[in-house]
Amino acid sequence: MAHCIAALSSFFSANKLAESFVGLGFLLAGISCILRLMKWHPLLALYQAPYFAVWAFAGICLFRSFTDNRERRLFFVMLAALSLLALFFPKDHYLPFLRTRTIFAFLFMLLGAGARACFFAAAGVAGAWLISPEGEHPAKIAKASWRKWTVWGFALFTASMFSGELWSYLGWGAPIVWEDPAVIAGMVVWFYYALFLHLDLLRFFETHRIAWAAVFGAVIAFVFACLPDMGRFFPPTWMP
Amino acid sequence: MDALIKKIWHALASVRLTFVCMTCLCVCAGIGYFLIRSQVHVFKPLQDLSLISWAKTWGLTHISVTWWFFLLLALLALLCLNTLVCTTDRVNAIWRNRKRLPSRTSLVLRLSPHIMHYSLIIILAGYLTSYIFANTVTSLILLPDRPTRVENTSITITLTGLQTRTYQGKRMAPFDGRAINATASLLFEDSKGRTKTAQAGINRPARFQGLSVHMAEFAPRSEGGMVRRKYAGLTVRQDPGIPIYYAGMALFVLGLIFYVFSITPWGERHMRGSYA
Repeated sequence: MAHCIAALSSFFSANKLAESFVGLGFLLAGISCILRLMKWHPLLALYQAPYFAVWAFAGICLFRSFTDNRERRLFFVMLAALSLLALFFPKDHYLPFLRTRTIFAFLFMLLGAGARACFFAAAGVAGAWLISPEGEHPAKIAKASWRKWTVWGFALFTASMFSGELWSYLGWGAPIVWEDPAVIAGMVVWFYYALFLHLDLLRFFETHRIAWAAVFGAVIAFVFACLPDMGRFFPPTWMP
Repeated sequence: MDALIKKIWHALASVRLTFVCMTCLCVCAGIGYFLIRSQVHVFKPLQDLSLISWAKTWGLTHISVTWWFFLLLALLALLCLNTLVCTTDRVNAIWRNRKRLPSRTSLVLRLSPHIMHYSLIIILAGYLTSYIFANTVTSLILLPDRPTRVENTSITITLTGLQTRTYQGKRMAPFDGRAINATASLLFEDSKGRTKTAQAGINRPARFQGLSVHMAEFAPRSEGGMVRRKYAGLTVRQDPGIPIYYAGMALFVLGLIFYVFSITPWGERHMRGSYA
């Protein structure tokens, strides 16, 4: 709710108020995430990543300096949308299983959530640049910013996938657990961003197209990394 | 002949080919994701069977659901060739011009994406080795003090003890009085009489002569109620691919760390040579 108020406030250019609500949301989301981890410790309940992604994205919104109100608005609307989706479409009602009792399961989830937040931030920067009047913001600065977020997202996502593979080997003895198509979904996101970085770094496309590719990346990350962790509409409860 | 090799090499070194391959991989894996979700039972045996056995049975029988997987393998093979050729060309160029670079750090930072490229090939080679040559024995049930031979090997395993840790508390109510960890004490023995005692637990495999033993199930899982006989269910794997893809992963992480450094202001200064 704090993130929704922040998004609304940003439309009325009440930036201080909006940032205060993002800060409040970040604090509450953090408490909620820590409580979720503590409740099932040393096990890990599955499908918690959407909450952690919201927390990480709120952190980015809070500590990032925005170029203008348009960018701030876009980030806060994205944050509100992600928070509402995580809140009303949970899938974390499954009991944890014993094989989640390893650091690699935690790293798989936490690093993956951080990566998603970075991909959304890259899309936010690119989206804000696309909707700003031409020439208002230098393309070079925007490009450097979305590239930085993409590289961090890619690095975290790779580390998350490697942690998942180590977990898979330790728990099941196989490099891929085929019962859960998460690895294939992860592969889509990984190859998409590997392609994006190549396109960007080798200057294969003009800046406009690359910016659209960064925005489309958020759609890919949402469909293949977030949706699998979300369930049907379910009113929020105090504890999973 | 030389001209033909040069022509093929040149074609494989194309960056356009990389883009086409990666785009096709994204689309193919995207379709695959939805097909796996609809028919997960077709892909589940891949965990235990070798790739060839699976392809001959499940793969070809359910080709309408598995076609994307074969296409994915072909695309990955093409991407590997393309990466190998492209990367070798670039590494060659960097190495030839190494004396023009401002420092050794600059050389390492410039090589970092190529370390990742080579690592990807090593990881995929490790997976292929694993899926072709690994032997898996699933559901090897061990009862206490009864030596059991592992299929296709001369190794016997005996369960000498099973320690379970039950959860006592109210925080995780569904787990109250139920086991949250288990450790099996195992005695391995081969045909030459060599023995080893080791412990295998959840996420903690035991190893003996190239075998890795993973605990899949155990009993009793809870205190009270119906008393169940003590047993440990193991998955035993002999997988020559593991060291290969672990090495690839370690190398990839190293390359990634260097690459992340190269895009920081510190790295950019070193790359330009204006750090002094």
